[in-house]
Amino acid sequence: MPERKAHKQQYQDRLEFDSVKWGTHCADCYPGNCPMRVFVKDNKVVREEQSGTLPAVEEGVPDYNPMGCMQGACWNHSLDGPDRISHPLKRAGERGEGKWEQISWDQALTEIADSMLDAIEEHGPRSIVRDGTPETAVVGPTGRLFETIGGFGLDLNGSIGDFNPGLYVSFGKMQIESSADEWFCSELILFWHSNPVFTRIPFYHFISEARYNGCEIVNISPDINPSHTHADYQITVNGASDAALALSMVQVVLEEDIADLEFIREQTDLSLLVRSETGRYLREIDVSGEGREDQLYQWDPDSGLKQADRGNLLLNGLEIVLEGEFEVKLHDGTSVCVKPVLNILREQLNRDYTPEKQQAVTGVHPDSVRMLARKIATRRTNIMHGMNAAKIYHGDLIERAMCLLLGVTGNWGRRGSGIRGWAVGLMDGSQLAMGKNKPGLLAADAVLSSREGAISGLQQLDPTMTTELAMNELTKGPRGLLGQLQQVPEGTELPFAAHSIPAFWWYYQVEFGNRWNTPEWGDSSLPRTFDEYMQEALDKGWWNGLDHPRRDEVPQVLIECGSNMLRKARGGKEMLLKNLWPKLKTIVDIDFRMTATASYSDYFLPAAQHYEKVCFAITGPQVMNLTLADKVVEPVCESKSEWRMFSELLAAMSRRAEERGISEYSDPEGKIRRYAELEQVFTMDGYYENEEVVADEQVRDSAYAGTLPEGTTLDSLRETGFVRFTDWGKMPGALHQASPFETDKVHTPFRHHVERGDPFPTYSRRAQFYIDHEWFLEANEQLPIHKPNPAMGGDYPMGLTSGHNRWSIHSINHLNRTVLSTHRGSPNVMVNPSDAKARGVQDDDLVRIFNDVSDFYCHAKVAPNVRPGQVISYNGWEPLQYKDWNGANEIEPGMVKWNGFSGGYGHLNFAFLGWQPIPIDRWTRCDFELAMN
Amino acid sequence: MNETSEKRQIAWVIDLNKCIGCQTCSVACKVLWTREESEKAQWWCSVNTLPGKGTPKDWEGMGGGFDDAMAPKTGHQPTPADFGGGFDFNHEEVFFGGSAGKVHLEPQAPREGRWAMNWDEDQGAGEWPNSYYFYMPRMCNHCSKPACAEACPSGAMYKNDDGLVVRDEEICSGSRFCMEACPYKKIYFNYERQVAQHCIGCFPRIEKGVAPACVRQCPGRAMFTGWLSEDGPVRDLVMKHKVALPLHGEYGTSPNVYYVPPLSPHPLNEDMSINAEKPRIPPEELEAMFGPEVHDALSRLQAEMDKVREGGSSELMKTLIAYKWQELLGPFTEDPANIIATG
Amino acid sequence: MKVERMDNEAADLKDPASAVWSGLTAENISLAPVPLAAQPTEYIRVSRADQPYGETAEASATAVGSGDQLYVRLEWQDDERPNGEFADAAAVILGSGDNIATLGSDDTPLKLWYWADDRDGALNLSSSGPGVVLKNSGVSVSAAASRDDNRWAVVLSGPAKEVSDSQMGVAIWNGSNDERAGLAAVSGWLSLDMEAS
Repeated sequence: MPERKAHKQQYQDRLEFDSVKWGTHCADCYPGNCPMRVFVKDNKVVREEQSGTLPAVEEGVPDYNPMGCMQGACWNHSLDGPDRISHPLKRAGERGEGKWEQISWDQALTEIADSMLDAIEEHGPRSIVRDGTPETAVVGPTGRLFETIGGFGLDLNGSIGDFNPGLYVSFGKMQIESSADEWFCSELILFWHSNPVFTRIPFYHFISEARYNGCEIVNISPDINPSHTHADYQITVNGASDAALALSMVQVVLEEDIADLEFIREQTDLSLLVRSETGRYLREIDVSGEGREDQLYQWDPDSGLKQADRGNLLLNGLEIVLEGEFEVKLHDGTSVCVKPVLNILREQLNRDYTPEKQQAVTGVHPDSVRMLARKIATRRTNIMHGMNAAKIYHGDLIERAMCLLLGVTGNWGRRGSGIRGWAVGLMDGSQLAMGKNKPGLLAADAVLSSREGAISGLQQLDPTMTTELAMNELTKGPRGLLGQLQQVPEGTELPFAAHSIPAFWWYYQVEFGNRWNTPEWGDSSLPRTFDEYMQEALDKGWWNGLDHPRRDEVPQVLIECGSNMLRKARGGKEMLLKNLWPKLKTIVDIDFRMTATASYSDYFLPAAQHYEKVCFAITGPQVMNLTLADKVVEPVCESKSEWRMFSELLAAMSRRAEERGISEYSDPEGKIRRYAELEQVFTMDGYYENEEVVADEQVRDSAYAGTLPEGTTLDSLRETGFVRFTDWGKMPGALHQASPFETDKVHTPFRHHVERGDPFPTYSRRAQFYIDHEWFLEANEQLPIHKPNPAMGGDYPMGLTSGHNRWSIHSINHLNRTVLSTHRGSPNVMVNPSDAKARGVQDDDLVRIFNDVSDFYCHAKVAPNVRPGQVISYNGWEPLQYKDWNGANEIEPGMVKWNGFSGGYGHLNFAFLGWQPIPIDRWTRCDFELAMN
Repeated sequence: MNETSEKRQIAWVIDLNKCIGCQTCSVACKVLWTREESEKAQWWCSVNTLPGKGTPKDWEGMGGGFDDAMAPKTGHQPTPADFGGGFDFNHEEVFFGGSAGKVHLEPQAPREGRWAMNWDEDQGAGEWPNSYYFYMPRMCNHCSKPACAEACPSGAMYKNDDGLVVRDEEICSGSRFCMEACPYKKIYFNYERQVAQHCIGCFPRIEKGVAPACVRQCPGRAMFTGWLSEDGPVRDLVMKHKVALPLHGEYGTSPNVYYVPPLSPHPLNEDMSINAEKPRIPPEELEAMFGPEVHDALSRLQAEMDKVREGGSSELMKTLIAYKWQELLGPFTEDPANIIATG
Repeated sequence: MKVERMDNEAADLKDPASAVWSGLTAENISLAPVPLAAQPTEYIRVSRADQPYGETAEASATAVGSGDQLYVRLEWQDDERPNGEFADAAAVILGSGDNIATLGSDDTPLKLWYWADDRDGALNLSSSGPGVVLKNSGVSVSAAASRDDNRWAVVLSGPAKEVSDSQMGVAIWNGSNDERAGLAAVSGWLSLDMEAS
């Protein structure tokens, strides 16, 4: 055979590159952190590939390589793809008409600066509003812009709802996250309200490898979702009925006497005493007439009534009584009966949640419940839980029931066990660098010392406070215990100047009141209307300072950066366009691509993409690395980094203010801000001239704070692409792990609670399943129970569900042609063949999905894995991919559960990224019919 | 002299119990090899949901390969419509056409009969609650008896030194008999360049000691590669543990991509109790794909899994876990960032 | 077949519909399928055993010499336009030897001036058997086609010096029957009466 070399050249040439740098994708595909090599040829990114350089953390546990996904593998296609917009644009027609004029940066920034000045002068700085974003590349610059001008920011939790209220109610925190490699150490993994085959692409291997390591996998879902494929058991459960399933398993565990009683006594509130006649905890003020309201009691088998330790949970073998009824004499001489919570729980479970009774609710066979309960009680069990339950009306109850199941079986704080939420932390320098007033480590030290001062101040006020609890107080701002200190220490303010709860924004500015007050769309078993609860919450001051902007505080300027409000808002874009948009004088959209929100804005400012600016992936426990996204190429055309853009915007404000003869303004707190100084404040007197300098300062400050190895700098990161953190630091999401930091071990959260007895940041200082808040008692939700999903949207036979899809990070990459080519290229709704047949619908037919709220059109994907009665619309499609630009959000009423407004009760108070009303959408009622094309 | 017998053969093992259908392999391949406009419908590597029609649509019914007597079997040449995809979109019109809210973004192709590489994603088969499906990547099998190369009238295709089936595009005259003869239908035609194209096994990477993109970029760690004749996971899984089987071995081409067949959760009985006697995927459907050996392979997998669950140790399970990622790459562990440009 | 000299009409000669062609007498040519047994691979022999090809049995040819160029106009009946993968195609075969029926052999490759309906211009190929072709470089050939009333008319042209042994042949591929490579109808050698060359 002849030597044939020439023909190979064209393919060999494809491997050529001029340079290679480190990159990652700083979109909020939490937790991301995939280290990529980014290859450049002729000043263009030609491709990227996972580095495969992550070392194994622990001997005997698989390494993380080669973290990545199909979106990351073609990210370069979005740099120059057809959805990339790289020039400043100004609307040339009506909003949303799709007519644009290309303008200069100078014109764009001058005009936007003028409208911001108008807003500040006429309505104050808080008439300038931004939505929350988890996108790491823009969180910093946008937060600082708004801090500099004193604008309003909407809390991310309430904005996107990717958090877990039931975890919060149970543990006082929801930023709980094991390291992904810890999944390998589980003996039993339950996929429950999660679909990791879609949502955990870079880490799924730890699950399949755990299975080969002896772990069993159980998929609990209403549909036969993609994560069933590698499960050992598929448990098919009726939609939104999971609380009943979990509670029934708890019933089995208690009845079969396989509960972990020692764990229950120490870790949970099930050992605490509740007064039979009121349903309220027995409190120190009840017993002695003074003392703490939140000092609760247990029953010591020898000595009877015992104050439950608020500072340490360990009982050292003391067998606190869990069953029985006892008489207690109160300070006024009266006697009352008290029972441990476990006793109340057991009665309730035996009455309502036997495996036989739950079957009518969940559809799960009693044998399956028993089998599963026995497995959970005897194995280190990890509930691989996502952000789905949180989007169900009574999802808090579902999550509380799941946590309870783990609580009675001793399943947290132990390797391979637990439940997960969403956590961010470790990069302490990101706060230090923004909190300090001049460059360098001395200034960082000042912020650190000030923070330490605050912690010790709080610990003096309450000596039972751990560092975690103290830092938690700081996130509540002056509204928490911090307010009792003489002085709020520097650098301990909320990361963003003024914080608003999106629920109030929707209520006052987007007019969701009518929907929220529709009784049958909410919890119709409640004795009062939605408005009555909300009014009570306001009257009691539970949300003081957070219930803005009120109806008369009309927002003037909306700056969307790293957010896509019209795409993501539950309740639909039409509500926003109809009720909010007309109020807004100026809408600025900052993005690297055209989106629904951008389409309806007044100005589009082109942002640099990943690979075109320096940033880091979200840092957190799941991958305990700082992963660099370096600037690999210059931003295309006229796009620029947000940091540069905002510096120039503030400079334009200074210039225009001078020209207009205005010099200063006062924010609602009375702080004077001078127009001429805005850019200096933002750039720390010119030091932070671009995001690269900022990143370097953040890295150095993190190293100083001890969370990165000594000597780590941006340049040292450029050698390795990532570096493993060395300590938790003091960010709340890191401290919420409540575990030792071990550099050579997988991370299991809650070890401090279990091993050291550290208290939980809850009202009772324990994992709390009994909430005696007056609203919870009124709603019969003091313990987790099952409540039927309300008929949101009207009386229709189908239920609309959703979930994170396989193909995009929210809407990012949904317009990327390469990604679009990996599926049908346009949105679909998945329906069962029987439902399709009954409506004369065949695969790929256009259907109209409708309810009392609205309708939308979409192509049907007929699939037998969909549950009859279910319509699945995976999340994230851009409205502009649907006929008439109306997506599934349009038929969602956008309800929030009333109890999100509760407050005044220990952990049930606002915390940044914490307790607040959150939007829900799952199982909206609807129907569908064949539509003509 | 039989030229190929002395050469080493690269092989793949794909663990279908690890594959999650994420398409990273497909996209990694596309970004590297088929990003030209004329290649937009090509997916040398693709992942499909099975049961399904796959890509090209209904490929299993298209013939090719060899019969029991090793005579070639007539095959159908898949058409562009069979492959589908390669969509163009109307971004410009939607963003700037002045018809926002009226014109939406969608593939600019007739809807009727539309198909694409992964059109029947997640549809599967069966009836709820016993519906079932799994994911299966496919690329060129780099067969030891490549029907494509044997069918080529111009002698453009040959077994490379590493056992990869490659095509000399200088010689390829575009006659497309390879596309008819390949029973796996993994050959595409470039209408602009008038040559056929298929997975080149990343030979330029192999030459540099770098694993193929599909293997190296698989986040599910589902793909192994290596020399079939040398020690390593590939050889062990195929020869020793016998849990990795060729797809449609009866096609007669001696494929070199092997699959660890999928286990599946139990189905439910009428009363919704679990039927622990059966897997959800009908074994006969797997037999139709992987041959009768599939039953033993599945039993062996399950038995070893059970053994570990009971506290035992299993060499097979350890091999499949691949504690160190580089074990998946066989001898091809070089870092692509360290490749010196070929000039 | 007589090759007429028309040294002043080169431009028109490239057009098969040009009136210059209508004054000339066309020669009828018989074609036959390339023998199945000669097909180069077993796959092709097996797959085409029961699938007839090369059934374009007749064509007519007219040849003109102009300057140093040879123009050959071919015309044949073709009832169906292909809508599949392969285009209608035709070639003028140049060379010598007794293997025209197999489109050449390894020892004696033939030259093909090749036209296909799905590509512009023509290819100059070297054919050493059915479908065993290589592109020749350095020699410019061209083609133009017209179709009328289910008949193709194609003019292929190239340097007259490419002709050997004063002979040519014709091959025709029927695209609607997926004909390509060795699946063709081929004529025998036609001797060319090269008037002034």
